[in-house]
Amino acid sequence: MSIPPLLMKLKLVDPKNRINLWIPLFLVWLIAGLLALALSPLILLLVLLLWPTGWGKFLWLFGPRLYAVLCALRHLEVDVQGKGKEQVLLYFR
Amino acid sequence: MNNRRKILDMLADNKITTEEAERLLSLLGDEKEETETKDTKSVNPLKNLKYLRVVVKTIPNPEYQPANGNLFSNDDDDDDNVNIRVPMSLIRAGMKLTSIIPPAAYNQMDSSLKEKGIDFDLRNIKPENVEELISALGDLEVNVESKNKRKNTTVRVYAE
Repeated sequence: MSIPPLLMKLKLVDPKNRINLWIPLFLVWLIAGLLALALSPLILLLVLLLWPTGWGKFLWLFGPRLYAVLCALRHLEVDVQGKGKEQVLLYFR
Repeated sequence: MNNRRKILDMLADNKITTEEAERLLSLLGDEKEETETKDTKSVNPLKNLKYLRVVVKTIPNPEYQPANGNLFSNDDDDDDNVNIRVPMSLIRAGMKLTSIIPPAAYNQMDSSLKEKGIDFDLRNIKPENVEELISALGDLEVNVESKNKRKNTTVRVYAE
């Protein structure tokens, strides 16, 4: 079973400062999961009400598809280096 | 007659030295290896590809000759290097996400695109088309010359 990235590395470097952060994404997913669980009755109601318009199906499938996108974020890396020693690095792990 | 045999005959006739024969044979070996690798890739070129890479590099233009002879200048504001690695699974997941857009929203998007002169229907893009597009990208390299001609920017897109 695939799981979303648990950590995000953020590295910001300029000639004066150097910031290296590991952001615990698993805490974000935990909160988001609890929020989704709390809102699930409302979401189900909205799905039923909006089904004839086509948006119901969208709402119904959005959660699983979004989860798939989040899982696929793993190993995404964006590295931008400036002319000096500036650097911005973003890495999902 | 194959190339290997030709080289051995040339060596026997003293037309080439042992070192030259050895070098030619090793080149033949490399060529064979390369062909085998290509054959393996052609069976399923996308199977082993995991990431799409976009690399932007700025390098000084060796052909640039400044009028005042000064190669160094303070207005170097366009020499950022960018390296992006996108997992293929992310592209696929993104494509699947577009498939749940309601028809009403699709129609609105289509009409907006047509207004801009882009006759393009997003519904026609299937995941297999994305695979084809990625394989077609292969090893794309675009060279961009900067306005002051002192630097060349290379944008390289490839799958690995």
